[in-house]
Amino acid sequence: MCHGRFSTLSYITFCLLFFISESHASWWGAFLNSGEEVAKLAKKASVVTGRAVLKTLPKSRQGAHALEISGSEVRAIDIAGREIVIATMSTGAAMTLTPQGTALLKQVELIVSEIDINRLENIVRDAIKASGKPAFVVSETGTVGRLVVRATPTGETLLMEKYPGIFIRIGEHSGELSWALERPFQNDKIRVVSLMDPSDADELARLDKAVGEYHIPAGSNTPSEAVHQIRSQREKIVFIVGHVEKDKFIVRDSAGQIKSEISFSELEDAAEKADASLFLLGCSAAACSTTSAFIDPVNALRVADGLKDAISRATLGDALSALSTAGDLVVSSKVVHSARVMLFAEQKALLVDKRIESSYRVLKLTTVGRERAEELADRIVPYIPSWVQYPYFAGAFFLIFSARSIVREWKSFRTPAPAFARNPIISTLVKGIRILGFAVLMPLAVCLNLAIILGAWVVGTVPLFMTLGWTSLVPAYFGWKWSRHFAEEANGEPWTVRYLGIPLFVGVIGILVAILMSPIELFRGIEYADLQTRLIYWIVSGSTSMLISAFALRFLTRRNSNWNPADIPGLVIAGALLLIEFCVSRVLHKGDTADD
Amino acid sequence: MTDTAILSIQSIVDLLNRRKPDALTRLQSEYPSYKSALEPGKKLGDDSLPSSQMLQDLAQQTIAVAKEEGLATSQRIQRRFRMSARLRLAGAVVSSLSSAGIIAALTQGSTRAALVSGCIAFGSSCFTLVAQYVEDYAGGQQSLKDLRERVATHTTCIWEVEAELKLMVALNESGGIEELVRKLNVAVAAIRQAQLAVP
Repeated sequence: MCHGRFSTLSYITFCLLFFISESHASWWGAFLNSGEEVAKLAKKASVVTGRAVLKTLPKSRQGAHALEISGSEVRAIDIAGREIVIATMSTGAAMTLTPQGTALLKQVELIVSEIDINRLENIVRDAIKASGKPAFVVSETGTVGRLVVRATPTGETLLMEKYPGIFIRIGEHSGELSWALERPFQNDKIRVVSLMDPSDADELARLDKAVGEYHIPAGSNTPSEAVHQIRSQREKIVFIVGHVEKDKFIVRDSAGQIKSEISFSELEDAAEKADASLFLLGCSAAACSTTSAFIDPVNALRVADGLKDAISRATLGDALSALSTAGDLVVSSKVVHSARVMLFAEQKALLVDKRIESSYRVLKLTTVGRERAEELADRIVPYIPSWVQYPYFAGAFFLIFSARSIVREWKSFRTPAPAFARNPIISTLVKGIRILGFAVLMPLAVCLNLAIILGAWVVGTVPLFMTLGWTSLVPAYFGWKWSRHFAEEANGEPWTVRYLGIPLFVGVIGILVAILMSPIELFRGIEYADLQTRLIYWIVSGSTSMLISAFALRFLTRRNSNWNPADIPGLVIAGALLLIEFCVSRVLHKGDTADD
Repeated sequence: MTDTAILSIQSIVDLLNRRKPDALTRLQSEYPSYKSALEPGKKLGDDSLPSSQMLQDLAQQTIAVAKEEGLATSQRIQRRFRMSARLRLAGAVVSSLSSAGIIAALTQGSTRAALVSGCIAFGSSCFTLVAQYVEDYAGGQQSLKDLRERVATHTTCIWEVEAELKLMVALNESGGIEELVRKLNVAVAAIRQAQLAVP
């Protein structure tokens, strides 16, 4: 014991002495730095290299060379594995091209690994300009993207294709951009501001059709009004569609006369103040802006089609990929800041929901008084029977606590209504159907939802425990197992919903077993039977319950099965929303036909 | 603000694409260097300036279709006017009948009949409101009357352009073709705008 204490003490003393001198500290520093280098090399070894991609190229492109950094040399490797040193690096990371390198870069296609692209940026950019041949980048996951050189406000810049059709500027934090692009994309967060003259009627109509009420025509507004409109789009994803000349959006009428002009910088400032993500959708807008924009010339109709496709996508990256069918897009790192602000706002909204939910739990202890409900019914809608009114008012009361989350979920999947200015009748009808449908159906759906939960627990447990007795514990155990199987998906739900599997199992299996037992003469009048007969009854009914429950559980929890008991109450709400959206789709469909 | 007016042919190209796509394809193959300018849909950036010969061909191909389009839009607006007038008349007739019904019901002392007549009168006055809305708003920013006048003006303008173009061809002069095409583009754009405002 004493020896052990001594050795620990001496070990600590040795370590302190080891760190105390400067020479030892520098030795440790060097050791840790070399550790970082080793980590970098290990990372590099794990990524797919250009060399590996060379082997997958078709015959027509087999002249391509992969560039790799090896120590202080940059090497070009051909498909046969021959290596040529094309540049050497000095200590300040400056590169000097070798004569063979200069000659080679004028002739061949290049493939570079993403991990090396920052250091090889100048070489690759000059090579693309000199040879006019394409260059490619291999990401860490092995996907191959294009490398292009385009004019930007900071001069000619190398752009790297991160996702199909989506480019980023070399040197921007691609990891953070990837995070922002993989964030969920809610279509109610987008706004499409068109800076076009009303005489561009086809384009405006196509945009209206593509994004409906999310389209804000601002072509007739003064520049300050348009800027104010952008300023009011807090935490939104704002796409500005318009005709670009140099670093301005210019609105021209059908005679070609300028009606108004707004510079990119004014719009960027407004978007920054509103914490909005800005996308400039005009020809080659990326050449004069550091914001996300199109790289090459684009057509307004294709942009509208791209936006239509984009709003139904799940992530921002997917949405931008859909939009890039109109033309290649460069995405700026500014979207990262907006994504962070949006995430913060979403979390804040969730917190508010949770607070409301906890007050709901307190209020759940009380219920709507029958007399009060009758009084309300008599006073407000005299001709509707009370059996509709009671659930309606009870549902409406409980809806106060869940309306916010239901509406948020609804907004995320519903089709946008057409713009009022374009199609006022259809727009009013759509909004009217939604408001009326929600007001009429949702209280009833919420009440039915509560009735299912409460009914399952009461009907599925109390009477069966009284008739079947201890045997009911068998299906209850299997019901618990069923709920546990989907525990992760039901996380966050109240326990009455999370463990809904228990009363459902007890109810269904219990009734089934009671029916199976009823023809057996011995078990008739079991309540008054002697202990021996009761024991036999419990054993037989328990074994039957176990057998049926085991089979049922196996069926319900088989692989790829989605029979989650906690989903059952949610189906009623979803059903009501889908019914409303079905009615809306009929109206929208008719509106489309009329437009066509 | 820069004062340079560029020549836009977008509305003309869009019209040809909608109504005579074959003619547009022919023009695209005849003038391959202006293929981008002859593609439907607004280009959101600078475009090349078309040649006089191409503009003349484009105008000749478009004028007949543009006249038809103007006429059809004018007729459509006229139909909308008729519908609105009928709606207003029907609303007024039903409203007066049901008002008479209210008086009759009240003299007979039947409150239920008076209530029904009152509801009908209310419904018919809503019809009048709809008719008013159709006439004054017409699904766009202008009233039907304004739209009718505008379409008539621009259809006349197309006739003028046709006459001037014929004269230009006869004199073998192409000096003013750009101005002529500009006028045609403005007229076609205005007619299309009216057409979309009255679906």
